[in-house]
Amino acid sequence: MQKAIILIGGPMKGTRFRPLSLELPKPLFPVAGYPIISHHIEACVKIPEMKEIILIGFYQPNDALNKFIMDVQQTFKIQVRYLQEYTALGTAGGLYHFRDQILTGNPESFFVMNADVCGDFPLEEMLAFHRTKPTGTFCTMMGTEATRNQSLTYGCIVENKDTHEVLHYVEKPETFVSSIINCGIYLLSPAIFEPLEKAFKENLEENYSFDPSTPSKEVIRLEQDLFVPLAASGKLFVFHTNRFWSQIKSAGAAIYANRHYLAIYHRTHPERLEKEGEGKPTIIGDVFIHPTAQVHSTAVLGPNVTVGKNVIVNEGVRIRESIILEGATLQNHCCVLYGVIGYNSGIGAWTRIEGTPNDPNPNKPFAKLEIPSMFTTDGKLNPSITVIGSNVQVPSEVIVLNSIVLPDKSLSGCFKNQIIL
Amino acid sequence: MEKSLEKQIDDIRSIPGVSGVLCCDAGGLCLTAKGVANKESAGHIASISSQAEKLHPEIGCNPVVCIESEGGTIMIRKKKKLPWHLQDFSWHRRLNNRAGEQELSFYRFVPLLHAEARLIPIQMQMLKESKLHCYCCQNCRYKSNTLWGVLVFDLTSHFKMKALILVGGYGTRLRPLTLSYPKPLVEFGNKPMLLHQIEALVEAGVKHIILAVSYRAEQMEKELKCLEDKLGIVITISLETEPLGTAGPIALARQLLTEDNDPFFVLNSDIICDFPFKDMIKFHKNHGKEGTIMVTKVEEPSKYGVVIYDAENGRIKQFVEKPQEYVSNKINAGMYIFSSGILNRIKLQPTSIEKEVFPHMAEDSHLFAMELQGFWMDVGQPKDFLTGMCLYLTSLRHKTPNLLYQEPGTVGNVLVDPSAKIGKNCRIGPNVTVGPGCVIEDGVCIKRCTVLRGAHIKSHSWLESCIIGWKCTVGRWVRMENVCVLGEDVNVHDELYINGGRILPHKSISTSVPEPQIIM
Repeated sequence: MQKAIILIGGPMKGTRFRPLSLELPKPLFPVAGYPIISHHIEACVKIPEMKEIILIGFYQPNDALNKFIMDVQQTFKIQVRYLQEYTALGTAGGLYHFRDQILTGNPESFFVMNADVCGDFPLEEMLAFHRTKPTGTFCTMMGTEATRNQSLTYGCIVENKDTHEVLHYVEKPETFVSSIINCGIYLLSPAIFEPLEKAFKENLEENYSFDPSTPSKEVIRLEQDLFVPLAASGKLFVFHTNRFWSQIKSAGAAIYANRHYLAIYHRTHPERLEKEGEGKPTIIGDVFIHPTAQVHSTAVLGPNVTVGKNVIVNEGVRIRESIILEGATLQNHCCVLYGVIGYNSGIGAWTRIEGTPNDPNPNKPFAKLEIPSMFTTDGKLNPSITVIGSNVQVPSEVIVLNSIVLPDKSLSGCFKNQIIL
Repeated sequence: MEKSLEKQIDDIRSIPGVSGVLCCDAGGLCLTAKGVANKESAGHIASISSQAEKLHPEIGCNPVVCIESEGGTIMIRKKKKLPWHLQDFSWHRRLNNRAGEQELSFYRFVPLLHAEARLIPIQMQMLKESKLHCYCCQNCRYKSNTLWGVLVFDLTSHFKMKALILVGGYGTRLRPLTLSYPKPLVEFGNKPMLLHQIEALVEAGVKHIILAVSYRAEQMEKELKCLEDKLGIVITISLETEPLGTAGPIALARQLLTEDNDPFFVLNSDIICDFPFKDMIKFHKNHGKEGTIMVTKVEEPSKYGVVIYDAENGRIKQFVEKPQEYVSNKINAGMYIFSSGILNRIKLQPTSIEKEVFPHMAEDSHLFAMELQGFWMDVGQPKDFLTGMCLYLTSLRHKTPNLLYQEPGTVGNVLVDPSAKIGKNCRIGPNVTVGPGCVIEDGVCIKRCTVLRGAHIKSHSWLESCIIGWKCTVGRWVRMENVCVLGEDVNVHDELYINGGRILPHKSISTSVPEPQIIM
């Protein structure tokens, strides 16, 4: 039996994804037409022995989450449960807290996936790899190649090239250690609970030396508290992938992930990709249009566009590299480039919504999506994807360039490089 | 006119061996006789000439008759067409034309002349007193005896006036447009800028226009020569070899301006307004001094040369260049009328008329200001070019609204050349001019723009406050705003955003220009 645990975090996490995460938990944000973690679940259910998917996080149970769980259970015919932490317990704290739930039914091993990554996860190969490793192995982590520079912002893994045993692990080093980085996807054996329990107890004991200035230490981090000490123990291994993988931290990453998930649809769900036809809009490259959306035949969409439920796209609209969320209305001749249009927002005629992509340098092999800081050193907003929050009305004939508009605003003019509260 | 005829005759007389010249018209009326020529023979000469023509019709017109004798040779030559100034201004012909017949016979004409001649002293008297303008008005003309009325009208309005237009240099302020065409030829309201002035001058009776040019004279000449016949005027290019400022060109054109003693106009070529040239003539004649300056009211006088004058009679007291503190809101509008006396004040060297000539004229009480009615704009740079266009279209709306485009999808004042094509679901206007041969595809929104000849704007684009150069192509879903100026034959690719870009000719633009800049 296999299980999968998806760490969905909580409302305090994923702030860089605001305002897209203000209405809806970020893991439910739709990329390529489907919630981010729906893509995780889809990768999981390809494993034949997969019996259960557990979402662990500290969101208050809410309608959106409940509805999502209902939907995926139906779609994938698998049990999905949400287990709520009483507080943020860290990437491993939640696993330890819900260890009984996880171990019920004696799973052979279980996947742990961070919700804020996306990729073309080769979980079956990873499982096969894990099975070749000696019994008593704690963990196989998915690793991928990054550039020397970019590796510094990730967890870095040094391996034995022949056995793929992890020899050294360090989280976000200051100087270069290794170009193999941690993808945030792990395959754990139940044996992991031994060192986990040890770490948990050590933490608790630390709390007895009561010091009011340090907060109570309940958080256990898989990376720092387990992988760092367990490296070179012969019980950690790294499984390499060179398929698409990226973090989804910012709105820019959502556009980037959207593009890649649409590309994956060619292999997995060609029926989801829009095709041209009589009375249909002009389609360039990969485009997903929800069946309930109304798109005028004179509109031109693509490449890499997702149009959500009940969206109305009027005459002569142009959309490129963008996500249009449920219920939005785009008026005649407007143009959306590198943007996210929020739920139920309206874009006026001849208006231009434009953002700036922060795509990885295509000429650098293994380059990952950069997550630039929001502001430049002199305090200006860094150009990025333009995000129009939900229920925002953008008037006709204006331009909103490299800006972020918070929900429920009615704009009155043009905005460039601004956050509009 | 008689003077220039006399000048021609003097030229002939200066040929060695010529002892006398007689000039008559085909009817035998002696126009002038100099030297040994006998005035009484005019009728015979006309007759010989016309008989000679009948002898050999197949030879064609203009036979030269030579009568040789021991005393010398008489040559009779017929010129089919007299120079324009003789055609229009010889008393004989004018009377003939106005009398309603093309060729009134000479003998019937004489008594008429006699009758008119008696009135000449009265005419002179009236001219002197500058009262003639009241006879100009329609009522008086129709009430009075036809011939007399016509005469008065001609005397007052048809001065053989000249105008000097200061075209000047490279027009750098209007680049990149002026990299392809000299500024006066850039179309403003679908008509070369200079033509607005020329047409208004012709309307006021100006027959000779001198363009003071310091570069691209050939291109100007080529484009403008065709206007001569169309408008019945003479256009002379006065080429400066070095920049002469605003006064120097007047001295350079001295020869042309002093053919007679009539006043002449001097205009800056950059200005656009409802040119009030006829009123200027009247005003100038009325005060009888050396110069009249048009002044106009502006909101921000601190950018211009302010004129301080007597509100009663218009006499100018003082000029203040770019005043720091408010002194007046009346500024020099760049249109003048001068009597030939001004030429004594200007030397042939680089001189500023505003700074080095006007102050002295004002001191001598020789300079008067007349306030311009209606709009005025110096359209020498793109921002003002567009502002001026809005004012011009508003003025068209009042004067000739039928010239404006009225099709559905038009907002406000829009001027579209009939050869331009505009697609469906567009919104054009307010304040847009679209030149000949332009193509505006479906679903385009254009506001406050000038689109020059042959430009192509593709679907769904949005343009505001731009000048689109000749033969440019603007792609689909392009947004351009904030005084973009595209030079000739610029190609803007699909889906770009151009904010205040000045783009040099023949460029192909494939990335957005989000901040105002010049694209070389």
